Amino acid sequence: MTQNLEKFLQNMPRKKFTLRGEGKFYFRFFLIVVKKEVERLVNLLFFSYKPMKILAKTILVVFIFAVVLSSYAYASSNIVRGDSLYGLKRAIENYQIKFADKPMEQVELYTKLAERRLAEAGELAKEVAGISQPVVSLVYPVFAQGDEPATGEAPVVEAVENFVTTVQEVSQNTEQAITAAEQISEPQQAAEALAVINTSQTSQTAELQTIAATIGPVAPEQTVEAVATTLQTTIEQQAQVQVSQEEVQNAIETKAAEVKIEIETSQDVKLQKAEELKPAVEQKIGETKDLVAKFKEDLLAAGVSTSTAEKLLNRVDTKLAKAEAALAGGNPHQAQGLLKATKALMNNAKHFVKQAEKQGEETATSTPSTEESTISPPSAVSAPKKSPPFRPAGSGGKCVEVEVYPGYTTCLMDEPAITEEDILGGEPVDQQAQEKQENQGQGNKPAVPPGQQKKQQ
Amino acid sequence: MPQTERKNFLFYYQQFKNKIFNYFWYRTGFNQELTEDLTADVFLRAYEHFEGFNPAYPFQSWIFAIAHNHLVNFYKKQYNIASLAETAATSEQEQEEKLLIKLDAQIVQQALVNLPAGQQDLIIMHYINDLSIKEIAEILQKEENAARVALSRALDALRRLINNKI
Repeated sequence: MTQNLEKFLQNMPRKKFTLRGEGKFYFRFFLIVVKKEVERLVNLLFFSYKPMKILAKTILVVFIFAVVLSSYAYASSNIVRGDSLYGLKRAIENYQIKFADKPMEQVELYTKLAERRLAEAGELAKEVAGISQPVVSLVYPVFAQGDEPATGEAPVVEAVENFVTTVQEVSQNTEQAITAAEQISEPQQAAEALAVINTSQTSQTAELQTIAATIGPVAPEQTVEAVATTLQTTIEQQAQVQVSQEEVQNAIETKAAEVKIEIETSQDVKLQKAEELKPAVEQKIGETKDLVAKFKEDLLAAGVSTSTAEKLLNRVDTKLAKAEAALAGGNPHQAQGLLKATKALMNNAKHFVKQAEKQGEETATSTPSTEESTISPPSAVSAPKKSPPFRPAGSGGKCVEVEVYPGYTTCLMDEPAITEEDILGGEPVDQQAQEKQENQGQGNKPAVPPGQQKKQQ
Repeated sequence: MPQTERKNFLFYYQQFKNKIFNYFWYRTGFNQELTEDLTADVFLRAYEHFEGFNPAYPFQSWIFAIAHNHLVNFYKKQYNIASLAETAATSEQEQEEKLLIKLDAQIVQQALVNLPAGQQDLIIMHYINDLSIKEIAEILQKEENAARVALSRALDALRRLINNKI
């Protein structure tokens, strides 16, 4: 062997870095990385004063540690009653309960909590089962008789107690979820809540059966009893939930049927009323037709032009036809409304007639004949362009100073601002021309503002 | 930057973790728990000083130098190497592992742990960790020839110890 020692040494066994060792490394590596990141962050936050730096680092590390710890405690089912982090876990849960105001939220939360307790019970069951075969089975008779366990048996007793309490909390949480579900008045929402509880209970039953198999019959009576009782309670609660589900379903169906009947009843009543109203409206239509005939005669007797009369009669006839159609369509109320509108139109026709006749007269006097308009270009038809009116400075537009005679200037507006006078139409062209002539007749008199002109006049 | 640094470091870690583990495993007399801790210590120390590592030089020499120094410091604290080696393998698992190792290997291992620390280093680094004489010389800060001679002497010493055992 010594002759081939070198070769032998090269073939000596080698090991791989163990999983536990890697775990140790990565945990410590993570801490160092966090520390480095914190240092980097602190340096970024311009803390140049050393005590401040230390304080900031400490706060940040504590904060990160607290966040990581509480997240782990809350999320992990490995944290069970008896662990140091269990209090933190329950504290977070209590806050959740405080913030769940609505019954539906409470149902979801308590169901979730029941499932959590069950997961914890599963972990504790392993613990109990692990120690139950060699030790607990020996210990059990001791505290089953009510005697205090020996000093070495204290952890066992504690584990069993923790397990029992956790298992009991499962049915308590489910009960609270059921109570919250009963507070929901809306049947649809209540059905949803009960469905959530029912689904959870099914999985709870399965989980409890697994736990029962884990602890086995040799486990302390307390544990067996707790699991059996909880299992029984869960089954009973589920039956209760299923009955409630049926009741809620019935309530939903009854309500739906009631709503249907209500709708049908209201429709029947409406139809009945419409039928009752129909003859009266038919009669009214007949009366209105007579009124329309009379209205036509009146129009012609009053000497209203044919076109105006036709326009009015067309409107009246259309409304009347619509009323008839509405009645035929089974809507006498609408027909009534249309008849009312027809009457109103006829009663007030005189106003429309006056307006139409007036407009007709105006168009006849102001516009040239159609022959002229077709022959002459549009520019010839339009009124001659007015010269910009004389305006004093400050009345809008741009002021152009014009020297009227040597040494005297005045302001003329080249782009006159739009005034009321412009909109309504200025003075007639003839008048302006007349004024111009008068001004010319006064010789080389200086042009004066209109105000002064008026004073002079 | 820190992310790239971490990534690079973890790449080196994956490459050399088993070598460092084996180095400590042999050097601690096959104490698994202690080996795990020492391996983790070395890599974490390396990470803390990773900014000072020059990528132009091999990482292997650098990490072995850290491992060697760390072990020396550890033994300085523990003082008694032999007793450490004897008391190391206590757990059932370790006992089982030892039983699985062939008898010849066991003799060599026992002889190895009875060698002086420096000679153990040379033999483990060269034969178990497959480091070259040049690399060992760099790690131990010796001349290459001196390292070669020291290794030869260590091998002779081991041979003598094995012969005595047999």
